[in-house]
Amino acid sequence: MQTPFEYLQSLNRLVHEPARLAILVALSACEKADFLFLLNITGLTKGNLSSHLSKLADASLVEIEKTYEGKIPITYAKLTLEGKEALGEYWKSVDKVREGIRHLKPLRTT
Amino acid sequence: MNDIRRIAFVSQRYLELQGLGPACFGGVLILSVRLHEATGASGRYGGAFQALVFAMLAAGYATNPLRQMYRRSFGDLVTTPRQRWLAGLPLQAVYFGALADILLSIDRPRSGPSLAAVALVAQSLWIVVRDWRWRAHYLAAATGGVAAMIATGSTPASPDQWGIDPARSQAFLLAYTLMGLGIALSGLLDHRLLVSTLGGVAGEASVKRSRPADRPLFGASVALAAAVPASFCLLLPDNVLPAAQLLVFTIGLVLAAGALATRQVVVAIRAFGGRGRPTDDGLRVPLDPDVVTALMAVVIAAAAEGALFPGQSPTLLTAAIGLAGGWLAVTGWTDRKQYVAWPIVATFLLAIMPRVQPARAFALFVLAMAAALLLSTLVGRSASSHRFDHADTI
Repeated sequence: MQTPFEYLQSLNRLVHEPARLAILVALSACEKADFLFLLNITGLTKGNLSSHLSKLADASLVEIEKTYEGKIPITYAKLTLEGKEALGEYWKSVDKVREGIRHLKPLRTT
Repeated sequence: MNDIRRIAFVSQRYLELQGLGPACFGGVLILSVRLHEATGASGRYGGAFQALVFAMLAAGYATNPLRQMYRRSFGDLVTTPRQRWLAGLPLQAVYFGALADILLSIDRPRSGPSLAAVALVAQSLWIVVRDWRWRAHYLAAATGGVAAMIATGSTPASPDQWGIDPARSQAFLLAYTLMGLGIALSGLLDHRLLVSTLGGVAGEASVKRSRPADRPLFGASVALAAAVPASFCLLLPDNVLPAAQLLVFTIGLVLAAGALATRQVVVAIRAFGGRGRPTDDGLRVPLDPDVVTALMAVVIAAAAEGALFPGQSPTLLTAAIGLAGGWLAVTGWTDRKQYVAWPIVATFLLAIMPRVQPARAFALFVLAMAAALLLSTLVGRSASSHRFDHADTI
């Protein structure tokens, strides 16, 4: 059986980063979301969001879909099956860490 | 972790939190009841239900433009069929309850509480239990529904009457006012929750997809759609006005919706054969929390006046609109100077209103509010700096 620390080490770093976690959580609650919605819900800057989305797309956790509205390009992001699994695994790991440290008590210092 | 929960909640309930739709229904329901009372609806066959149907019609026409406004303001989220169904359920439950009320009262007035109120209480309590942490404000809608149930349940149908029962109609009109208040407040608070989560970036980063030139055009269109039937009503003699007013406003509403639909068809035809869907241009939702507070104050004033002084001219409502507009303009002159139009128009209206009959006062009210909307849209256009860019950088 793994210790809580080992579970902590096994957390997927790509998912664990707060901004990317926020993106994945938002995408997990819908079919797909456009860039403007993700910008609003995460509070990231355009550059940051773009960079994080690219990383998630490179890891195949997110699928990027480009379309047009008149002459304006609209980018949609969608959670892939791998993304859903990675997020599910991540929450399981977090739960195990939390479960493992529940019985730990802080050392008494004199 | 709290932020992550909020993100998950708002993404999951994005459609449900678009509260301006229910707020529009609630607000129009209160106004419609007041208009119907001023024209003697309680003495007409199905008079109370006409008020509800008018509000349902107006809210139905407003649904799509409001959805587009939210999309422009906060972006697009493609939801699952279940999410779409859940988003429409609260108002649909009230509509079905109202339909049952109407059908059961076709041959003669029926005793017992309004089924629309029962539906409102049931769905509001369900939302409170499900989303207690974020949407406890649905207790307002539940309270409105309970009060409406009491109002209708405590007024039994008169067994001697066939079709027309003024006391029962009056109880239904009061019930609809209370329900409208609860629905409008809950909707506005849903909207505030959405804006507080998403509004920061939308407000500050000037990420705009709507063409600035379309905003005054849209404001002018809405003002015109309200002003034309109101002006026509003012031309009618006093003895014809109460009977004709409702019909004129309903026709005005249908024509306005038709004009909007025609415009969408023209846009779609122009974009035919091009890549992607047509440009979604037009207004955005209000992001200023003070505007939402002002709207809540106006709705409360309208409902209070309707409950306490049924059938009277909308004096308190006009004063509330004037005060709310004045407060918005004074407390943020740089960004909100356009709201100064509302107290100016309200003052004129308050000076004229006591001299005319309630039905004519309502026509004047609609005309004056259309003028204020047009003025504030034009002033707002010159006051704000517009930037047009698109959000995508990926």
